[in-house]
Amino acid sequence: MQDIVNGLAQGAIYSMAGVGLVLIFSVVRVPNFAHGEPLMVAAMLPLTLMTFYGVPLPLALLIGIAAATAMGVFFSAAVFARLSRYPEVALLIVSLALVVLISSAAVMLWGDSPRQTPGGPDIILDFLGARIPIMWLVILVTALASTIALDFFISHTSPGRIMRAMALNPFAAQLMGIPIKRYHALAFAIGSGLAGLAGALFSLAFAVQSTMGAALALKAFIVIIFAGMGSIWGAFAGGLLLGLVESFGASYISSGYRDTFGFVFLLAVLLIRPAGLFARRTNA
Amino acid sequence: MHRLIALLPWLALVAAMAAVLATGNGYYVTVAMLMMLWAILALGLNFILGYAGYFHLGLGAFYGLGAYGAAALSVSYQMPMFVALLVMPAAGALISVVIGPLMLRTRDLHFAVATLALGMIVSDVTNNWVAATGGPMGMGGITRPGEIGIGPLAIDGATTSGMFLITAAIFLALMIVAAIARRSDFVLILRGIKSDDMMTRSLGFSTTRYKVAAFAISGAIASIGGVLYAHIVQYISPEPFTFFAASFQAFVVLAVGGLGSLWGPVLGSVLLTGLPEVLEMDPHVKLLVYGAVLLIVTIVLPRGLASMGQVLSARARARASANAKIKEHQT
Amino acid sequence: MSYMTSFRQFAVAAGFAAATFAFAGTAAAQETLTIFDLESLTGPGQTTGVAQANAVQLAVEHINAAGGLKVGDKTYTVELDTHDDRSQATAGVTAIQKMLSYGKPVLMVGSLSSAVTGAYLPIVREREDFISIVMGAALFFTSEDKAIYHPRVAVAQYTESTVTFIKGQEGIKRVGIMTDNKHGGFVQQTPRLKELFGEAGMEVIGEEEFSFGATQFGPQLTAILRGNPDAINIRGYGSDVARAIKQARDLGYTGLIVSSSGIVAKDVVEAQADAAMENARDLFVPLAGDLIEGDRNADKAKAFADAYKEKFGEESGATSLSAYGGFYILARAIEKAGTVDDIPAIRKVLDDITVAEVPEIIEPMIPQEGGRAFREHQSYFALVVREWRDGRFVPVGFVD
Repeated sequence: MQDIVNGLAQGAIYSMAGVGLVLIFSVVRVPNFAHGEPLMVAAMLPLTLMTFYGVPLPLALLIGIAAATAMGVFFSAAVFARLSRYPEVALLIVSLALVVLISSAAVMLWGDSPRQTPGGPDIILDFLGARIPIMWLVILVTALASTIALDFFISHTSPGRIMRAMALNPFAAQLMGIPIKRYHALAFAIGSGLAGLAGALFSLAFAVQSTMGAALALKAFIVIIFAGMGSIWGAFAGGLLLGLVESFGASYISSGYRDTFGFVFLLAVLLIRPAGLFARRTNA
Repeated sequence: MHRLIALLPWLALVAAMAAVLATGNGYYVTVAMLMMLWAILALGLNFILGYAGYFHLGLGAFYGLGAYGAAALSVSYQMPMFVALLVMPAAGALISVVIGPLMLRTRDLHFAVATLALGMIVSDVTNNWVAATGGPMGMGGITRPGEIGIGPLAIDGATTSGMFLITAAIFLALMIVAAIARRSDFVLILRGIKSDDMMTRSLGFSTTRYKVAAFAISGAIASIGGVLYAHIVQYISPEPFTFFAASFQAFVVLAVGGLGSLWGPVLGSVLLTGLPEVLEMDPHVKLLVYGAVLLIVTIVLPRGLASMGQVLSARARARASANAKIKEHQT
Repeated sequence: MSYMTSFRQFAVAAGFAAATFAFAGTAAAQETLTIFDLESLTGPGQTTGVAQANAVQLAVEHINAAGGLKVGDKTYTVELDTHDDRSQATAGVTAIQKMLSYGKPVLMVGSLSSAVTGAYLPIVREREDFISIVMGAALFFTSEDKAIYHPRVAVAQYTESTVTFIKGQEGIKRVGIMTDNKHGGFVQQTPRLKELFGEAGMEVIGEEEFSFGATQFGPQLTAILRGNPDAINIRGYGSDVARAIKQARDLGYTGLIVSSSGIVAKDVVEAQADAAMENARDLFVPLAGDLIEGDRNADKAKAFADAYKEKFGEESGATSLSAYGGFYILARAIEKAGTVDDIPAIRKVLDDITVAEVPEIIEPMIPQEGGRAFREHQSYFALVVREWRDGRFVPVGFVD
C-alpha cells in the first residue's frame, strides 16, 4: 500500500508535467526539452522570495507559477516563433541549449544543492497502513483537477477548440486565418503554467534543485509517449503509471535501477504499441 | 585544380596534427587527442543523424560499451589494445543490428526518446553492476600498447605522443572512410530516407536494412571512440558516458559542425571541445557561453559551421545583387 | 585589521612563533614556489570542493603572511595555481597533463573526487617528479601509490566505527542499509560492512541504494521498513542524509538512524528535517565546530573557524580541515627536506614526518608507529559522534 502511495505522489508530478507538455507538443509541434525549466523555476523561486523579500508563502507560490507561465510565453514568442522555418533538429538543439543556459544560470543563482520550501502543512494521514503526508494528497488532487480543467477548456471553450483544430491540422488552421502565433503562445503559457504548478507544489513536499529540469522534461516526454502523444487523459494516466512503475521497481526489485524501470517500460511500450498505450484512433 | 583545392583541408589537418606533436607539450597533445575523439564520435553519429536524419540521442551507450569492453579486455584478460579495437566495434555493430530493427520502428521524437532511454539504461548499468564495472569507483590500470613497429619507425604507445599517433592514425582512417562513404550509393540512399522514406521504399530499396546499417555504423564507430578513450585516459568511470557528457555532446558537436558534412565533425569538435579547454574560462561562465554558442550557431548557421563558406558567399552575392539593383535604379 | 588580529590569535594558538618567520621573510630575497591545486569547483562536488579550495587558500595566506617557506637558505612565497576538474575524470586528467607539461616537478594538493583521483592515478603513480597530497577522495591508498599521500580519513574507518557504535546500543538485532550508489568509497565498503554486521551478530534486513542528489527516498525506505529494522545506516552526503531521515520519519519510522556524512545544520534546514532528527547520529571525522564544542584542539579549531568565516563569510566544509592540515604537512616536508624540486627527498620526509612536527594539523589525527602522520601513505583520525539538539549538531562522544 505504501508503495502505491509513494508511486502516486511522484507520478502526479509526472502527470502534471506531461499534461502540460502534451498541450504544447500537439499544438506547437516543437520538441520542447526545456519544459522542465519552468517547473524548476516555480519550484526554486518561492523560497528565495520568502527569505529575501519576506513574501508570504501563498503569494510566493503564485509568483513562482506566474514566472513559469511567463517563461513559457517567452519560449514561444521570443524563441520558437522565430524558428518556425528551421528543421526539427535545429529546434531540438535550441531546446537543449535552453536547458543548458537556464539550468547553469540557475546554478549560479541558487547553487545546486537540493532544498525544500518550508511552511507546507505538516499533517500525515494513516490510511490502510500507509502513511500519507497531506501535501501528497494535495498534489494528487491538483493533478486530477487541472487535468479535468484542461480537458474542459479544450472541449468546451472556443480557444480550446481552435487549439484542437490546430493540433489536428496546422496547415488548414492557418488557411482559416487563425492567428497561429498567438495560440502557440497560449499553449506554451498553459503548458508551462501547469509545469509551474507542479513545481511549486512539489517543492512543498520534496526537495528541489536547480538542475532538476532536464530529468523532469525527459520523464514528461516518456509520459506523453506512453500516452500516445495527443491525449490529455492519457498523459495523466501515463504519469501515474510511470510513478508506480518506478516505485514498485525500486522497492521490490532494485533501488539502484529506479530510473531504468521507467526506461525499460518505455522501450517495451514503443516496441509493442508504437502509437502509445492509451492511443485511440483519433488524436486529441 | 579543383582536386587540389579539395586536398587543402586534409593537408591543413595533417599539418595541424604534426604541429601539435612537434610542440611535445603533453597538455596540447592531450587536448588534441580529446578533439580527435569527439570528431570521431560525431563522424560516426553523422551516418544515422546527419545522413539518415534519425535523432540518435543514445550514442553514449555505444561509447560506454567500447570503453568498458576495452577496460575489461585489458584488465581482466590482459589483451592488447588492437584486440579491443577489433572486438568492440564488432560488438557495437552486432548489438545495433539486434536492437536496430526494433528501435527503428520509431521515428522523430519517439526515436530520440527511445535512444535517450537506451543511453540512460546503459549509464545505470555501468553505475550499478559493481562486480563487472567497478560501479562508481570505475576501472583503472588499462594498459596502453607498448612499442609498435621497428627501427626508426617504431612508436611507443605507452607515451602520450605515441598514443596521439595511434589516435591520429585511426581518426584519419575513419575520415577517409567517411569521405569515400559520402560519395557512395549507400549514403545517397540514406539521404533519400531522410527526405522521404516512403518514396525511397517505393523505389525498391529496403529502407529498414539501410537504416539499421547506418545505426550499426554509428554504434561501431562510437565503440572505437570508447576503446580510444579507455586507452587515452587509462581509467573509466560511469560519468563520462552519461547523457550530457557523451550523447548530448556528440550530438551538439555534429549539429554545430554541420549535419551530413565531412568536415563538420572536425570543426564542431575544435570549436566545442578544443577552444573552451584552451581558453580557460570560469567554469560557470563556460557553461553559459556553451549554451549561448549553441543557440547562436543553430540560429545563424542552421546547417552548421561547415556551411559557413556557402552562407557567407550567398550573403555577399545577395548584397552584390542588391547593390547592382540600387545602381540600376540610380541610373 | 581584524583579519590580522584573528591571524595572530591563530598563530599563537597553533604554537609557533610568527615573528621569527616574519623576520626571516624580510631577510632574504623572496622567490616564488608554485604549488598546484586540483579542485572540484563545479559539478556535483562543488559545495565541498569550493570549501576545500578555500581552506587551501587560507593555509597559503597564513604561510605567506608568516614570511613564506624557508627552504635551505632561501625563502619562498607560495603561489597557488588552481585547476578545476569539474568533478569529471577527463577534465582532471587534462589538468594533470597541463601541470606536467611545464616540464618541472609537480607539487600538487587538492583532489576531492574519487573518480578524478582514480583517473589521474595511473599517470602519476610511478612518476619520480610528482607529489599529490589528496585531501578528499574516498579511495584507499597504499605505499604502491608512490606519488600519493592521503592525510584524510579513509572510508574503511567509517565502516568499522559504525558497526562498533551500533553494536554498543541496546537491543539492536536488525539493521537496514541505504547507500549513495555514486559514492565510490561507500559502495566499495558495502560487502565489508555486511560482513562486520554479521560478525557482530546483527542481521542485515535490507540493502537499498539512492543516487547522489536524490529527492525521493520513499521506495527504498518502504522496502527497508518491511523488514522491521531496529536501526538504519544511511551512507552518503549530508544533504541526502537529511532528506532521507525526514522521509523515514514521515513514513513512521522512529528508531535509530546512523550516518557517516558530516551533515551540517544547513542540510537539516534545507530539508525541513528539524523535527525528524531525534534519534539520529552522525559518525564523522570531526568538523571545526565539533572540536570546539567537544573540546579537542578547541583553540586551534576556533582560530581556524574564525579566520575562515572572516575571509569567506560562511562555515567551512567537510574536507576543509584536512585540506588545511594537509597543506601544512607538505609545507613542513618541503622545509625539512630543504629542497623544492628533489621529489624523492621530499617523499622520504613525508614517509617519516610525525604529527607533532606539524602543529597546524587541527583534526585529531591518530599518530601511527613512531608518531608518524602516515601509515603506508594513509592517515587515521579519531571520529566524533554527533547528534542534533536545539537547531545544531553537538558532539556527544569521540571514537578513537
